[in-house]
Amino acid sequence: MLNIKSMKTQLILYLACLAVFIALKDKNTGFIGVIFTAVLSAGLIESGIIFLKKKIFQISESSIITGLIIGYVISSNEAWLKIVFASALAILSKYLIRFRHRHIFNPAGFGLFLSTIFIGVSLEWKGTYLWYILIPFGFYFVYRIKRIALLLGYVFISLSLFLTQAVLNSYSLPGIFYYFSYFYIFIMLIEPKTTPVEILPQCLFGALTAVLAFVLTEIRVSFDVEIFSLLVLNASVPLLNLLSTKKGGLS
Amino acid sequence: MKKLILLFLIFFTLSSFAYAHPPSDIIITYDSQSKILKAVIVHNVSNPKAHYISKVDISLNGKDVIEHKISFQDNNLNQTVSYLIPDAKKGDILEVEAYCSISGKLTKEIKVE
Repeated sequence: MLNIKSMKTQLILYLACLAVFIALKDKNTGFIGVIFTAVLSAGLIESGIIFLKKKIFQISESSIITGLIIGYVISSNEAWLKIVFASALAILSKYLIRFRHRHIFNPAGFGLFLSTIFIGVSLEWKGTYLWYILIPFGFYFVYRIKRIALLLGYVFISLSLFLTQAVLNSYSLPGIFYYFSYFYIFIMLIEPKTTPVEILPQCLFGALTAVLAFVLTEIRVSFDVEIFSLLVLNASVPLLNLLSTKKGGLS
Repeated sequence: MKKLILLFLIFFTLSSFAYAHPPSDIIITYDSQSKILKAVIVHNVSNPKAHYISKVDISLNGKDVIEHKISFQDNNLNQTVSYLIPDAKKGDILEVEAYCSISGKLTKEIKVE
Protein backbone atom coordinates (compact mmCIF):
# COMPACT_ATOMS: atom_id res chain seq x y z
CA MET A 1 0.00 0.00 0.00
CA LEU A 2 1.36 3.41 -0.99
CA ASN A 3 1.98 5.81 1.86
CA ILE A 4 1.83 9.09 0.00
CA LYS A 5 2.94 11.02 3.11
CA SER A 6 6.28 9.23 3.08
CA MET A 7 9.09 11.33 1.61
CA LYS A 8 10.55 8.26 -0.06
CA THR A 9 7.25 7.42 -1.76
CA GLN A 10 6.88 11.01 -2.91
CA LEU A 11 10.42 11.01 -4.29
CA ILE A 12 9.82 7.74 -6.14
CA LEU A 13 6.60 9.07 -7.73
CA TYR A 14 8.30 12.34 -8.62
CA LEU A 15 11.32 10.69 -10.23
CA ALA A 16 9.13 8.16 -12.07
CA CYS A 17 6.84 10.86 -13.48
CA LEU A 18 9.82 13.02 -14.45
CA ALA A 19 11.38 10.04 -16.24
CA VAL A 20 8.22 9.53 -18.30
CA PHE A 21 8.16 13.25 -19.11
CA ILE A 22 11.81 13.23 -20.25
CA ALA A 23 11.32 10.07 -22.31
CA LEU A 24 8.32 11.61 -24.09
CA LYS A 25 9.99 15.00 -24.52
CA ASP A 26 13.19 13.51 -25.96
CA LYS A 27 11.41 10.60 -27.73
CA ASN A 28 13.86 8.35 -25.92
CA THR A 29 12.30 5.04 -24.95
CA GLY A 30 15.77 3.67 -24.22
CA PHE A 31 15.86 5.93 -21.15
CA ILE A 32 12.84 4.14 -19.67
CA GLY A 33 14.59 0.83 -20.35
CA VAL A 34 17.66 2.00 -18.44
CA ILE A 35 15.50 3.23 -15.54
CA PHE A 36 13.66 -0.10 -15.48
CA THR A 37 16.91 -2.11 -15.54
CA ALA A 38 18.50 -0.05 -12.77
CA VAL A 39 15.41 -0.09 -10.54
CA LEU A 40 14.83 -3.81 -11.05
CA SER A 41 18.44 -4.76 -10.37
CA ALA A 42 18.81 -2.48 -7.34
CA GLY A 43 15.47 -3.67 -5.95
CA LEU A 44 16.21 -7.36 -6.45
CA ILE A 45 19.72 -7.17 -5.03
CA GLU A 46 18.57 -5.35 -1.90
CA SER A 47 15.59 -7.70 -1.52
CA GLY A 48 17.99 -10.63 -1.74
CA ILE A 49 20.22 -9.17 0.96
CA ILE A 50 17.24 -8.46 3.22
CA PHE A 51 16.01 -12.02 2.66
CA LEU A 52 19.39 -13.45 3.61
CA LYS A 53 19.51 -11.32 6.76
CA LYS A 54 15.90 -11.46 7.95
CA LYS A 55 14.29 -14.32 6.01
CA ILE A 56 11.53 -12.03 4.80
CA PHE A 57 10.78 -10.73 1.30
CA GLN A 58 10.76 -6.97 1.20
CA ILE A 59 11.27 -4.37 -1.50
CA SER A 60 12.89 -1.32 0.05
CA GLU A 61 11.93 2.14 -1.17
CA SER A 62 15.57 3.21 -0.82
CA SER A 63 16.65 0.65 -3.40
CA ILE A 64 14.01 1.94 -5.85
CA ILE A 65 15.29 5.49 -5.36
CA THR A 66 18.88 4.34 -5.85
CA GLY A 67 17.88 2.58 -9.07
CA LEU A 68 16.00 5.63 -10.31
CA ILE A 69 18.98 7.92 -9.68
CA ILE A 70 21.35 5.53 -11.45
CA GLY A 71 18.92 5.35 -14.36
CA TYR A 72 18.91 9.13 -14.72
CA VAL A 73 22.65 9.60 -14.49
CA ILE A 74 24.01 6.64 -16.48
CA SER A 75 24.11 6.87 -20.25
CA SER A 76 21.04 5.53 -22.07
CA ASN A 77 23.12 3.44 -24.43
CA GLU A 78 25.13 1.59 -21.81
CA ALA A 79 24.95 -2.22 -21.83
CA TRP A 80 22.44 -3.62 -19.34
CA LEU A 81 25.18 -5.54 -17.53
CA LYS A 82 27.00 -2.28 -16.75
CA ILE A 83 23.77 -0.84 -15.35
CA VAL A 84 23.34 -3.93 -13.17
CA PHE A 85 26.99 -3.60 -12.07
CA ALA A 86 26.48 0.03 -11.02
CA SER A 87 23.28 -0.87 -9.16
CA ALA A 88 24.95 -3.82 -7.43
CA LEU A 89 27.87 -1.67 -6.25
CA ALA A 90 25.43 0.93 -4.99
CA ILE A 91 23.41 -1.52 -2.93
CA LEU A 92 26.42 -3.50 -1.68
CA SER A 93 28.05 -0.28 -0.45
CA LYS A 94 25.10 0.17 1.93
CA TYR A 95 25.83 -3.13 3.64
CA LEU A 96 29.60 -3.42 3.36
CA ILE A 97 30.83 0.11 4.09
CA ARG A 98 29.30 1.20 7.35
CA PHE A 99 30.16 3.32 10.38
CA ARG A 100 28.20 3.10 13.61
CA HIS A 101 25.46 1.02 11.98
CA ARG A 102 24.88 3.49 9.14
CA HIS A 103 26.09 3.39 5.57
CA ILE A 104 28.59 6.10 4.71
CA PHE A 105 28.32 6.79 1.00
CA ASN A 106 25.48 7.99 -1.15
CA PRO A 107 24.67 4.57 -2.70
CA ALA A 108 23.89 5.78 -6.22
CA GLY A 109 26.92 8.08 -6.23
CA PHE A 110 29.16 5.25 -5.05
CA GLY A 111 27.90 2.79 -7.67
CA LEU A 112 28.10 5.32 -10.48
CA PHE A 113 31.55 6.62 -9.59
CA LEU A 114 33.19 3.22 -9.26
CA SER A 115 31.49 2.06 -12.47
CA THR A 116 33.00 4.97 -14.36
CA ILE A 117 36.43 4.15 -12.96
CA PHE A 118 36.42 0.35 -13.25
CA ILE A 119 34.31 -0.44 -16.29
CA GLY A 120 34.28 2.87 -18.15
CA VAL A 121 30.58 3.60 -17.76
CA SER A 122 29.65 6.94 -19.30
CA LEU A 123 27.26 9.32 -17.61
CA GLU A 124 24.54 11.36 -19.22
CA TRP A 125 22.70 13.23 -16.40
CA LYS A 126 19.30 13.11 -18.03
CA GLY A 127 17.10 16.06 -17.23
CA THR A 128 19.68 17.92 -15.19
CA TYR A 129 18.82 21.19 -16.94
CA LEU A 130 15.08 20.97 -16.32
CA TRP A 131 15.36 23.73 -13.76
CA TYR A 132 11.67 24.65 -13.99
CA ILE A 133 10.81 21.21 -12.57
CA LEU A 134 13.84 20.38 -10.45
CA ILE A 135 14.02 23.69 -8.55
CA PRO A 136 10.45 23.89 -7.24
CA PHE A 137 10.25 20.21 -6.35
CA GLY A 138 13.81 20.36 -5.07
CA PHE A 139 12.93 23.17 -2.68
CA TYR A 140 10.05 21.10 -1.39
CA PHE A 141 12.27 18.09 -0.70
CA VAL A 142 15.10 20.17 0.76
CA TYR A 143 12.66 21.88 3.11
CA ARG A 144 10.99 18.63 4.15
CA ILE A 145 14.24 16.77 4.85
CA LYS A 146 15.79 19.82 6.53
CA ARG A 147 18.84 20.24 4.34
CA ILE A 148 18.54 23.98 3.64
CA ALA A 149 21.82 24.78 5.39
CA LEU A 150 23.64 22.22 3.27
CA LEU A 151 22.25 23.70 0.09
CA LEU A 152 23.03 27.25 1.16
CA GLY A 153 26.61 26.27 1.97
CA TYR A 154 27.05 24.70 -1.45
CA VAL A 155 25.40 27.51 -3.38
CA PHE A 156 27.12 30.33 -1.50
CA ILE A 157 30.60 28.90 -1.99
CA SER A 158 29.95 27.94 -5.63
CA LEU A 159 28.69 31.46 -6.20
CA SER A 160 31.76 33.04 -4.62
CA LEU A 161 34.24 30.88 -6.52
CA PHE A 162 32.66 31.02 -9.93
CA LEU A 163 31.62 34.65 -9.75
CA THR A 164 35.24 35.56 -9.03
CA GLN A 165 36.40 33.40 -11.91
CA ALA A 166 33.85 34.82 -14.31
CA VAL A 167 34.74 38.40 -13.41
CA LEU A 168 38.47 37.68 -13.80
CA ASN A 169 37.84 36.18 -17.25
CA SER A 170 35.40 38.96 -18.27
CA TYR A 171 32.66 36.49 -19.16
CA SER A 172 29.15 37.75 -19.64
CA LEU A 173 26.57 36.03 -17.51
CA PRO A 174 23.24 36.31 -19.42
CA GLY A 175 21.75 33.01 -20.45
CA ILE A 176 23.62 30.97 -17.91
CA PHE A 177 20.54 30.21 -15.82
CA TYR A 178 19.86 26.96 -17.67
CA TYR A 179 23.24 25.34 -17.16
CA PHE A 180 23.38 24.38 -13.52
CA SER A 181 23.52 20.67 -12.64
CA TYR A 182 20.18 20.72 -10.84
CA PHE A 183 19.68 16.97 -10.67
CA TYR A 184 22.95 16.59 -8.77
CA ILE A 185 22.07 19.37 -6.35
CA PHE A 186 18.44 18.62 -5.64
CA ILE A 187 18.52 14.83 -5.73
CA MET A 188 22.02 13.57 -4.92
CA LEU A 189 23.76 16.22 -2.82
CA ILE A 190 20.97 16.50 -0.26
CA GLU A 191 20.45 12.77 0.39
CA PRO A 192 19.57 12.75 4.10
CA LYS A 193 21.10 9.48 5.32
CA THR A 194 24.65 10.30 4.23
CA THR A 195 24.75 14.00 5.12
CA PRO A 196 24.96 15.77 8.48
CA VAL A 197 21.82 16.53 10.43
CA GLU A 198 22.78 19.74 12.19
CA ILE A 199 23.13 23.16 10.65
CA LEU A 200 26.86 23.91 11.01
CA PRO A 201 28.04 20.49 9.77
CA GLN A 202 25.53 20.77 6.92
CA CYS A 203 26.89 24.18 5.90
CA LEU A 204 30.43 22.85 5.95
CA PHE A 205 29.41 19.77 4.00
CA GLY A 206 27.88 21.88 1.22
CA ALA A 207 30.71 24.41 1.20
CA LEU A 208 33.50 21.83 1.13
CA THR A 209 31.77 19.85 -1.61
CA ALA A 210 31.70 23.01 -3.71
CA VAL A 211 35.36 23.84 -2.98
CA LEU A 212 36.57 20.33 -3.77
CA ALA A 213 34.60 20.14 -7.01
CA PHE A 214 35.98 23.54 -8.04
CA VAL A 215 39.60 22.64 -7.28
CA LEU A 216 39.35 19.27 -9.05
CA THR A 217 37.83 20.94 -12.10
CA GLU A 218 40.63 23.48 -12.23
CA ILE A 219 43.33 20.82 -12.11
CA ARG A 220 41.56 18.98 -14.95
CA VAL A 221 41.00 15.59 -13.41
CA SER A 222 39.34 13.08 -15.70
CA PHE A 223 36.53 11.84 -13.51
CA ASP A 224 33.21 13.17 -12.31
CA VAL A 225 34.29 15.84 -9.84
CA GLU A 226 30.89 16.39 -8.32
CA ILE A 227 30.16 12.76 -7.50
CA PHE A 228 33.72 12.30 -6.23
CA SER A 229 33.44 15.40 -4.03
CA LEU A 230 30.15 14.16 -2.68
CA LEU A 231 31.68 10.80 -1.76
CA VAL A 232 34.67 12.43 -0.07
CA LEU A 233 32.36 14.59 2.01
CA ASN A 234 30.12 11.59 2.76
CA ALA A 235 33.19 9.94 4.26
CA SER A 236 33.87 13.01 6.37
CA VAL A 237 30.40 13.16 7.92
CA PRO A 238 31.50 11.47 11.18
CA LEU A 239 34.14 14.20 11.55
CA LEU A 240 31.75 16.99 10.62
CA ASN A 241 29.27 15.68 13.15
CA LEU A 242 31.85 16.38 15.86
CA LEU A 243 30.94 20.02 15.33
CA SER A 244 27.40 19.22 16.32
CA THR A 245 25.95 21.36 19.08
CA LYS A 246 24.13 18.37 20.48
CA LYS A 247 25.46 15.83 22.95
CA GLY A 248 28.68 14.28 21.74
CA GLY A 249 29.79 17.25 19.67
CA LEU A 250 32.68 19.62 20.31
CA SER A 251 30.81 22.87 20.64
CA MET B 1 11.70 31.08 6.89
CA LYS B 2 10.32 33.24 4.06
CA LYS B 3 13.47 35.39 4.16
CA LEU B 4 15.61 32.27 4.05
CA ILE B 5 13.76 30.92 1.01
CA LEU B 6 14.02 34.31 -0.72
CA LEU B 7 17.76 34.38 0.00
CA PHE B 8 17.97 30.91 -1.39
CA LEU B 9 16.22 31.86 -4.62
CA ILE B 10 18.51 34.87 -5.06
CA PHE B 11 21.58 32.70 -4.57
CA PHE B 12 20.32 30.22 -7.11
CA THR B 13 19.53 32.82 -9.71
CA LEU B 14 22.95 34.38 -9.30
CA SER B 15 24.92 31.19 -9.10
CA SER B 16 23.40 29.43 -12.08
CA PHE B 17 26.62 29.67 -14.03
CA ALA B 18 28.50 27.30 -11.78
CA TYR B 19 28.66 23.82 -13.28
CA ALA B 20 27.47 22.72 -16.67
CA HIS B 21 28.12 19.09 -17.32
CA PRO B 22 26.42 17.47 -20.26
CA PRO B 23 26.08 19.83 -23.21
CA SER B 24 22.64 21.41 -23.00
CA ASP B 25 22.04 21.35 -26.76
CA ILE B 26 23.65 20.55 -30.10
CA ILE B 27 22.58 22.53 -33.14
CA ILE B 28 23.44 20.49 -36.24
CA THR B 29 23.37 21.59 -39.86
CA TYR B 30 24.50 19.72 -42.95
CA ASP B 31 25.17 21.42 -46.26
CA SER B 32 24.49 18.91 -49.05
CA GLN B 33 26.41 21.05 -51.55
CA SER B 34 29.66 21.37 -49.61
CA LYS B 35 29.09 18.07 -47.70
CA ILE B 36 30.04 19.90 -44.50
CA LEU B 37 28.42 19.03 -41.20
CA LYS B 38 28.51 21.81 -38.64
CA ALA B 39 27.61 21.32 -34.99
CA VAL B 40 27.36 24.03 -32.37
CA ILE B 41 27.60 22.29 -29.00
CA VAL B 42 26.10 24.44 -26.29
CA HIS B 43 28.10 23.98 -23.09
CA ASN B 44 28.18 26.88 -20.71
CA VAL B 45 31.22 26.80 -18.43
CA SER B 46 33.13 29.15 -16.20
CA ASN B 47 36.59 28.13 -17.41
CA PRO B 48 36.78 26.64 -20.94
CA LYS B 49 40.41 25.60 -20.44
CA ALA B 50 39.55 23.37 -17.49
CA HIS B 51 35.98 22.35 -18.33
CA TYR B 52 35.25 21.73 -21.98
CA ILE B 53 33.88 19.44 -24.68
CA SER B 54 36.53 16.74 -24.73
CA LYS B 55 35.28 14.51 -27.54
CA VAL B 56 32.90 14.60 -30.46
CA ASP B 57 31.80 11.43 -32.22
CA ILE B 58 30.05 11.51 -35.58
CA SER B 59 28.13 8.57 -36.93
CA LEU B 60 26.41 8.04 -40.24
CA ASN B 61 23.40 5.70 -40.17
CA GLY B 62 24.63 4.28 -36.87
CA LYS B 63 28.20 3.66 -38.03
CA ASP B 64 31.00 5.70 -36.43
CA VAL B 65 32.81 7.79 -39.02
CA ILE B 66 34.69 10.42 -37.00
CA GLU B 67 36.14 10.58 -33.48
CA HIS B 68 37.49 13.99 -32.59
CA LYS B 69 39.33 14.63 -29.32
CA ILE B 70 39.54 18.21 -28.09
CA SER B 71 41.66 19.70 -25.29
CA PHE B 72 39.84 22.96 -24.57
CA GLN B 73 36.72 24.79 -25.58
CA ASP B 74 36.35 27.69 -28.07
CA ASN B 75 34.71 29.94 -25.49
CA ASN B 76 32.68 29.71 -22.28
CA LEU B 77 29.37 29.26 -24.12
CA ASN B 78 29.84 26.67 -26.83
CA GLN B 79 32.12 24.56 -29.01
CA THR B 80 31.73 24.66 -32.77
CA VAL B 81 32.98 21.81 -34.95
CA SER B 82 32.79 21.18 -38.70
CA TYR B 83 33.51 18.00 -40.63
CA LEU B 84 33.51 16.93 -44.23
CA ILE B 85 31.14 13.97 -44.63
CA PRO B 86 31.42 13.14 -48.32
CA ASP B 87 29.33 9.97 -48.32
CA ALA B 88 26.16 11.34 -46.66
CA LYS B 89 23.16 11.37 -48.97
CA LYS B 90 19.51 12.36 -48.77
CA GLY B 91 17.63 10.39 -46.10
CA ASP B 92 20.75 9.40 -44.18
CA ILE B 93 20.91 9.96 -40.42
CA LEU B 94 23.87 11.92 -39.06
CA GLU B 95 24.41 11.69 -35.33
CA VAL B 96 26.60 13.96 -33.21
CA GLU B 97 27.64 12.82 -29.74
CA ALA B 98 29.47 15.36 -27.56
CA TYR B 99 31.22 14.54 -24.29
CA CYS B 100 31.92 16.90 -21.42
CA SER B 101 35.45 16.66 -19.99
CA ILE B 102 34.07 16.30 -16.47
CA SER B 103 30.94 14.23 -16.84
CA GLY B 104 28.01 13.76 -19.14
CA LYS B 105 27.29 13.67 -22.83
CA LEU B 106 24.55 14.57 -25.25
CA THR B 107 23.54 13.00 -28.55
CA LYS B 108 21.53 14.67 -31.30
CA GLU B 109 20.82 13.63 -34.86
CA ILE B 110 19.54 15.06 -38.11
CA LYS B 111 18.18 13.56 -41.31
CA VAL B 112 20.03 14.69 -44.41
CA GLU B 113 17.67 16.70 -46.65
